[in-house]
Amino acid sequence: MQKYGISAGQIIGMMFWTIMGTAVISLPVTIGLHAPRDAWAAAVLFTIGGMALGLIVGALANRFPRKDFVVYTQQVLGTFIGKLLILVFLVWLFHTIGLVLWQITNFVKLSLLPETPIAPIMAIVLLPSAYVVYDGIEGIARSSQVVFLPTVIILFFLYLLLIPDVNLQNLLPVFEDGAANILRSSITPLAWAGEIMFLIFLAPSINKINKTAKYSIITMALIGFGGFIGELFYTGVFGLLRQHVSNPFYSLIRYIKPTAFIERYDILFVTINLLGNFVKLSVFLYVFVLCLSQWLGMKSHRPLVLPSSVALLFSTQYFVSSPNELVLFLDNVFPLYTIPLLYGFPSLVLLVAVIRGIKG
Amino acid sequence: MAKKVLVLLAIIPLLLLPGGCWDRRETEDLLLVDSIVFGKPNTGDTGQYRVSFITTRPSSGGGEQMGASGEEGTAQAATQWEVSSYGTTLEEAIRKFSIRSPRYVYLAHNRIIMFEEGLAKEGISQAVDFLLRARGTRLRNYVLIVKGDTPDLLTSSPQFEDTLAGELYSILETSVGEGDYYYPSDLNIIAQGILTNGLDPWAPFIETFSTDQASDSSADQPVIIRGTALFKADRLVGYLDAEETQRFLLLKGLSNAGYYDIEINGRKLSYRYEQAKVRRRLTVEDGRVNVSFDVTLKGLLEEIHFYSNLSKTEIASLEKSLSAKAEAALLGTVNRCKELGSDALGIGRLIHSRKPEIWKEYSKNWYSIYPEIGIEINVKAQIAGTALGTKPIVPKISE
Repeated sequence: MQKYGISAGQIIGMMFWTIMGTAVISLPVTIGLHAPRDAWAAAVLFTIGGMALGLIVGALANRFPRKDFVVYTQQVLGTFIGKLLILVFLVWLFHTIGLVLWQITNFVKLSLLPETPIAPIMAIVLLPSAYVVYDGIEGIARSSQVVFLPTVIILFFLYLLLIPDVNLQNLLPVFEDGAANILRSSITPLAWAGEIMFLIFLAPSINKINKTAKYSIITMALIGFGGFIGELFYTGVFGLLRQHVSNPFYSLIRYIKPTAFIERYDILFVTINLLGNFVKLSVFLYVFVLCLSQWLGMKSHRPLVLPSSVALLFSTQYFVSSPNELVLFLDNVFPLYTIPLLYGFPSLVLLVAVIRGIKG
Repeated sequence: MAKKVLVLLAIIPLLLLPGGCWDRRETEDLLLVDSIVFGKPNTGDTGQYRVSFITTRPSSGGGEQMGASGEEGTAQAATQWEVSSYGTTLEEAIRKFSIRSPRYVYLAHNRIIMFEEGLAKEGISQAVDFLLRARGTRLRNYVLIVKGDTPDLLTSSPQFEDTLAGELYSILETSVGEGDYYYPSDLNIIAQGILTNGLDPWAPFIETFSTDQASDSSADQPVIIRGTALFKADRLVGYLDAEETQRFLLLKGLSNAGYYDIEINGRKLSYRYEQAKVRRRLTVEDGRVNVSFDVTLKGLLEEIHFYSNLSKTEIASLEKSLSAKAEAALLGTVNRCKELGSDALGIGRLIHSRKPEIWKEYSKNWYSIYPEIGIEINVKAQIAGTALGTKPIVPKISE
């Protein structure tokens, strides 16, 4: 369906922010609930899980090069089961896009526009993503490439400024939170890492499709490292207080000591967040409309962009009612169905394809 | 063409976002709060809170104005404005003020949070919790404890800056790295101290002082940072004076510079250390933990009231005397913290991080175990030189 070839830098940029976009908002909170001192350990399990899934995605991409996941799933599992599983995935995806949209909107509302009703913010956040998705994968890939490097450099710069405030004593004693709590804190991040599975849908457009596994591993290593450093900083700077702030990353940036040159760094965080989440929302929406169009047997995803966006706009407002409710949901419910779906679905397709000896 | 029109139409709502949409507030509509003071009124009504704001009077914020002749510039200094509001909750007190303020009370540029002594003695956890929830508050806001009456403080006049908050902020900022008699504590440090077992909060304290003993006017009473206020959990339990603060900061690793004045056989000597290393060690004897602070100081002799060619032997002897003096002073500060029952030095956290298995037992009853913990101070003071002079200036007549 798509002719544009995505380069290595573009796919890594896309997947980096696809996972990291809301991870920087929500994961520090859910991880901190269970293992505030050993939070960095959650990043290790997150990376291992994501890399393992990346290998499965790479194997599928190698087995079915230039073929769409929706098509070969039906070939491997049979039309009925294939369509049913894709439908389940679509329902999950629609709901998750809603959660993503709500998180971005809620952040904008809390940090920038407290008086503005949530609906107009949602519309404004969704509009650029809908536009770029309508244009196709090329627009998303190119904008991801543009966004990736400056945002990562700014993030690095912000962390550098915080080094004097890091108290490594706050990380001691190591592993005091206990193995059970560390594992518990890793569950929600593991669900997030599952989003590397979206590479399956983008793989047919990747220039060097045989390197899909390598790209996913590089992406997960980058995100894992970012998460590891982030968690070290949250605990190093805030200690146990990290459990009490609603957005540790935002609080961290606001904590940077003002200098004569720059007094406030908040806007840098807001910029990174909005740019990164623009990429995230665009990739999610693109995968949704692409998948739906293929599921419905349509030739193009474009007619679905506007209706899907409008449907999201209306339904998202009813998905979540408060930030605390969302945190509890992400901590207790979201991983329960997300991990089996995102890890299990591609694994099942690969397993059956190997057993049945089906190749693309 | 149609596509271009659609794109242009799509851009219009995006422009609303930077504009602020429903939230549009011009700078001149904001009341930029410089400092907030939380306290309790002296009326005996213990259920009431007093919240005072120190701001710059909006009309005076214009900066320089030209004189009528146009030749001479007359600087119009921004004038400080203080206002207090009362309520049964902190939120109510702020709300009451917001209602009568013609401008939006804006806390995002606040720099200093002060707690009045009375409230601090009762506990500051509710106020800290309130501040953490409040939109705009930054964890970087410096925290000060007000010893004495808040009204005195509010009417006292800054000496070098336009507002009291500006003056205090500058004092606290310049103290960092100087290792003098105070070190800023912020909302993050205070909140962590309240939450963390084995670590109590601390903050510099201020009080007004009179430059003119004859004057009763509080406008003549500038504010001075006197030392450090120590907390036990969230309650203020006492103060360290300036000298004790210097030692407290040295033991916490927050200060690298300070002074020791000693007197040997009636002969005075002043030593300034400019490098300090503090190594904290734990030893366990018969199941009991002892904490040792190994302090190495390196500095210069700044003032000598006796003639000496400062031979190696004499330097060694002076170093020994200085080390003994520093050891006694540091131990005195540790004992003062113990007396007050405040573990602001973080002895408990040290045990927790190094010996978690022992801490499991200690944490159950830490405040009763803390005074019994053996603390040893070992100081090695090194004299690196005699500043820019060599021999002291001694009048020839005495030779």
